[in-house]
Amino acid sequence: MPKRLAYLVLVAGAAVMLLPFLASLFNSLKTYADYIAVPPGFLPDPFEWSNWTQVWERAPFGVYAANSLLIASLAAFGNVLSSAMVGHALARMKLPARGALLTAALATMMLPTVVTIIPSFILFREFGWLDTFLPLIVPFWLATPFGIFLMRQSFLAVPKEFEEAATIDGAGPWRVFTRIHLPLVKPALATLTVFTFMSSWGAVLEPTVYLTSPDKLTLPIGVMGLRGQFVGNDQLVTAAALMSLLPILVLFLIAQRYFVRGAMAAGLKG
Amino acid sequence: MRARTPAALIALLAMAACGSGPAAESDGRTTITLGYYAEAGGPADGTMRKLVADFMKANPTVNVKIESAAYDEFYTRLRTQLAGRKAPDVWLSDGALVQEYAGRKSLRDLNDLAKSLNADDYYGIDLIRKSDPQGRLFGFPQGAQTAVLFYNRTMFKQAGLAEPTGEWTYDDLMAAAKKLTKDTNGDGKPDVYGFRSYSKSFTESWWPLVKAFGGDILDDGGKVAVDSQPARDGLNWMLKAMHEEKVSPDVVTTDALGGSQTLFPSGVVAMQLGIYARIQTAAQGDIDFGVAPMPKGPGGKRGEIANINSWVINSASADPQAKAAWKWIEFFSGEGPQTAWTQIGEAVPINKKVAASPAFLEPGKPPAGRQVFLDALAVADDLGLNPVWSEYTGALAKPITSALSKEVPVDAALKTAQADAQAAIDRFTPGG
Repeated sequence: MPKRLAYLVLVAGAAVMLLPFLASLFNSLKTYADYIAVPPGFLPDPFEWSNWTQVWERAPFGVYAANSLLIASLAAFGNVLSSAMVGHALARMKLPARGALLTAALATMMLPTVVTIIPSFILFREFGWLDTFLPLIVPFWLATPFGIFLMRQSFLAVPKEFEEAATIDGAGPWRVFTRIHLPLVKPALATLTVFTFMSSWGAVLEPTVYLTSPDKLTLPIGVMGLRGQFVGNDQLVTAAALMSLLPILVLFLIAQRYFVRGAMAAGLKG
Repeated sequence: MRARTPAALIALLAMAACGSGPAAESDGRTTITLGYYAEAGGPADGTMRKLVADFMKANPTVNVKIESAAYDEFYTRLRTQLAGRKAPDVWLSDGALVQEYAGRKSLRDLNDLAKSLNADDYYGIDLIRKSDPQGRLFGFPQGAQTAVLFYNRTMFKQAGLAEPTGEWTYDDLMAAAKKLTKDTNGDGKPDVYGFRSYSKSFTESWWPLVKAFGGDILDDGGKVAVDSQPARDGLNWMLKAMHEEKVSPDVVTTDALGGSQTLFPSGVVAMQLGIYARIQTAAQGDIDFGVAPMPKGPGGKRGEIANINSWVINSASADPQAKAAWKWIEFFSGEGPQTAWTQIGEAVPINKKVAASPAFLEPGKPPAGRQVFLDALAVADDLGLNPVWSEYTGALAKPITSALSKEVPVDAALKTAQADAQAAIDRFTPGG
């Protein structure tokens, strides 16, 4: 009986959580007149299935999805690789001013993007990188403060004995890093991958500023591009936003086991 | 497999790096970048792209690279591009922002270039010149927006009311609004209102009302003049409509239900002051609607104002680019492109011939009587534009909205609005 009750509570909770998603889904199938109706109706009347096809006709969402996937994958890979290296050095190597270096890296987290966007824009203009994906990828390959911090904490938690045993067996610092330490911090690597992927996938300001060609836009920019100043396109924007969720939803469903395990393990070892 | 990984990464990075280089001169062609805001793939975007293609066909020596985005994203990008000296050569500017960019020396004075056109053939040139203390022309009209009274014909018919006329005063409007306001669900509160008076989009709300009641926002010398008895009267009329007669949704209800973009097309309000572009959402709302001149205030003024969206040319662009950009502006202002642009219903055409043609006046869809927009435009005042438009209108809107929400008395709000808005203007030194 208590088990049944627990399931009932869980199902009720899940239904409540699902409600906004369902509301969005139904909103994406409304006409504009239906969308703005007061009081609002839950179900579309009539169902405007063409909203979803219209989104595809208006903008190349397949191209946007491919761009977002490429950018987010490379950003995640680069950030995990570089942050792990920097975090490892700060955690396990004897460096002068190690604490100060970490503090300096963390201090940059205090600078909001809007403050750095103009100097960054000028820098990338000088590099000839405007309207390419490089400004959205390369900075992640230079390690991020959050990544450094996360990886440093994870490497600090690895017992010293592993490193000592490997060193006695003749392993150098690179081998210790790649063969001993990295496999032991897999949960943190998974967590950082997910966080970086998600933040890159959902980034708005940087792609807005750096990308101008229609075939280079990312999904969030494509979705927001449908908004009209005076035209009621909210139903199309909702359809596009739901569509843009699909790739990441599929990715999550495929890799759910690893993500959940990684996030939980990282939390436990925190 | 392992050896392939770096190669694959390099290939991916190469894909990431692929991009267009800077606009280059090749084959004697001049390349310009053209920026505009429009919803992706919508009628405005499609029409603009077609016009650009037509322009390039007619001007084979000019190559146009388009940079478009939705309104907010367009300006987010533009501000960074201007700071990084990489802005488009020519872009479509919201009329309210022309002086903001001109004051920061980002725009070219078009007075010399504009000699190739007869200024009398276009709406709005005088208003753009007026907004510059030295009479410079920092933008050329692209489309005009001016507010008139929108009304729901079905709701008027159901209430047994005659439709608004040019003789209407704000008293007539209030009387009609009372008859149009309804409590349809019997909860003791109205859910259909006669008139939307407040809007965040203040050029469709307190701005024309203050002017209709005989006040002004700026005086002829460019000083803020909103702390006046007529302005108090205008705001008090709005307060009466929202809180005493309850014929207008209050500030919170208006914002919660989407403001001027949705209240009228959804049938929650029977009347509103609306700019020309509101025709688009009204049509989407599938309502039968008409337009009439704005009502007269106590002194007979209507308070017409206009916002002239404009093409502007980057001051950092080289002469060949600036000349090519002007060619585009000339092309867009012509009868063919203006007729095409008129058909999307976004703005009053600035080409007077097209504005007087059936393409604008009798497009075969509501509202009838579009002449009222032209009549309003002919007498409309400018918005008192200045280089700190965003800051100064923010300083005005905040206390006025507080007064309309009954958080502060109207007297105190107007005093604060006047002091803060003037301070915002005084803080800015354009540098000559």
